[in-house]
Amino acid sequence: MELIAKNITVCAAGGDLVDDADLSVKPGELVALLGPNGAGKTTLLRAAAGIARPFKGSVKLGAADAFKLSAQERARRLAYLPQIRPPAWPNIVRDVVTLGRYAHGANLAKPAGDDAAAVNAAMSDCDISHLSARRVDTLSGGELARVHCARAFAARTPLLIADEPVAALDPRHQLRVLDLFAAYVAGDSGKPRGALIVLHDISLAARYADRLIWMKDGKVLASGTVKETLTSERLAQVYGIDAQIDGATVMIKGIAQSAR
Amino acid sequence: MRLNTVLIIASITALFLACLLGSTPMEPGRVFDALSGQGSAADMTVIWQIRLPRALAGFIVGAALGASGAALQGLLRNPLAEPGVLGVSGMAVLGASASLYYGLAALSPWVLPSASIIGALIATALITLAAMRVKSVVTLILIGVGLSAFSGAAMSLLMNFAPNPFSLSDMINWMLGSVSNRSFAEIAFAAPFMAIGLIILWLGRRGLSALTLGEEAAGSIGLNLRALRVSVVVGAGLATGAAVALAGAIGFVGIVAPHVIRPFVRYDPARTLLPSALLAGLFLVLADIGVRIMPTQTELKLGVVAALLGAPAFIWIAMQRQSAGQGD
Repeated sequence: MELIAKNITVCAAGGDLVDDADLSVKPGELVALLGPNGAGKTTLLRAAAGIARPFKGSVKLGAADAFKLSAQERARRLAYLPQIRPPAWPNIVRDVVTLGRYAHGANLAKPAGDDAAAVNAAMSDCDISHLSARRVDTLSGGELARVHCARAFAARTPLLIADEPVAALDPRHQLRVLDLFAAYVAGDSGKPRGALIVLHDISLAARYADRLIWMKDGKVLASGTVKETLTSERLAQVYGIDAQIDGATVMIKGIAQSAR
Repeated sequence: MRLNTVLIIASITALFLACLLGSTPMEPGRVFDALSGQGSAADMTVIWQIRLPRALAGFIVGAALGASGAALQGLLRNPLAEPGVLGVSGMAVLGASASLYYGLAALSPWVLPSASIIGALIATALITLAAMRVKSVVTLILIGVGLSAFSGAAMSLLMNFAPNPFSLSDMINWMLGSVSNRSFAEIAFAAPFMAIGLIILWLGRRGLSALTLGEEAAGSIGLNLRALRVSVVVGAGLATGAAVALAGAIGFVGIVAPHVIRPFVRYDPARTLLPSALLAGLFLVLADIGVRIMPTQTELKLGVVAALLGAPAFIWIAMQRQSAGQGD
């Protein structure tokens, strides 16, 4: 299933948060959305995920219009992982992961059949099986991030959108979580899936993403492979930093002259 | 499930105990006979006209408030949310008193519960509208405090204009909250609203679990948030309004019961609903037994006892939140 968002425009009192942005995610593609703080990444993501209807523009999930689907139908096609926050109640890990099966009508107290299989597989993929009965308020940041990932993976949707899934994680956990996304995109039994994630770490994006989407001031400036779009000019233009690029390796030297 | 079984057995036992105790002591055998319709005429009257309806009224009022509290806490993701704290009970009392004051309640037995329910629905709707705009849990509680203060002021106004001391004392007595002298007929006018309210809350329970993740994520896993909000507003409004119509204002029951239950159900808002209803019902039946056997000059009002026990518990829960660093 392919996600195609076209001409997304989102307005706020002060001006456009997102201005005529396009993006797409194909099966088997891990797409990273890059841009400075306040570029409109989260706003665009929420529109693309079908959660907040934009002022203008369309979002297609496969053949269906994302905003014509019911919440349940949409949730079976696309899983959305907002920025990681602790749950409202100190639930146990397994119950939080089981919520990923909500749209499939799972018995949330006691998942059975496909639901139980999906929950168990997601927990083992995210290496949190041993935390199954732990209360989420006792987890470390890295563990909580993996619980939320497992919740999203358990839905087994063809598409996944995640907002800064590795923010506030140490380097090892960042790699582990992004490995999970890469495995998710590769899919099982030859059925690849698509993922769109917001990242702040350009090196990680270059390492994992099949395609980069660059955003600034609510506009999509470029979209393409790492090779095509990761240049020092681009980093100066988008982030206002002076960096040296060597293949997929990024060496940040400082703030760009133009941005000082 | 085991928790619910224990609570059901305890509730039935408490209801039976409530039939046992009173100014005319009755041994269990006589109560059994009277309950099964084989007792003496006098015993039958005492059980069926006085003790059983009173105990049942206490139980269903508690159940309605306990379930409403659990559902509102789930919807607002706030352990301090409760019909009394949020001003829902206060607005219901205001609606009911207005109907009493203007003599509308005499027109039909449906007027009082309806007025009470309308008051409760207005309050739940206002709170939920506010919750959609303000994210802060504390602000929301403050809005509830404001609503309570407003309904309190309007109540004072009604009392200020009371035509005579008798209607004034009627209003005050009713406001304090009690289930004494309730009949099956009165229960019959409140119970249907309560039942509908509780069923609506019960049907929304999965959504309350989903809301654990926060509104945005809950929407993304397939929850229709607007439908859930409406169902909790209507369900809690109906249940609380009907409870107030039957027993006046009985506060804090809806906050304590879910708080006690939560650790036993792994903090899942859905699984908190039923046991909270049962525990709150059980609590009111027991508290009412206490009120009846306490050797006081004037009988204590159930609402007064519930508030005396519940208000400190409320403060304790609020302080715990602070120390756990969850306050925002």
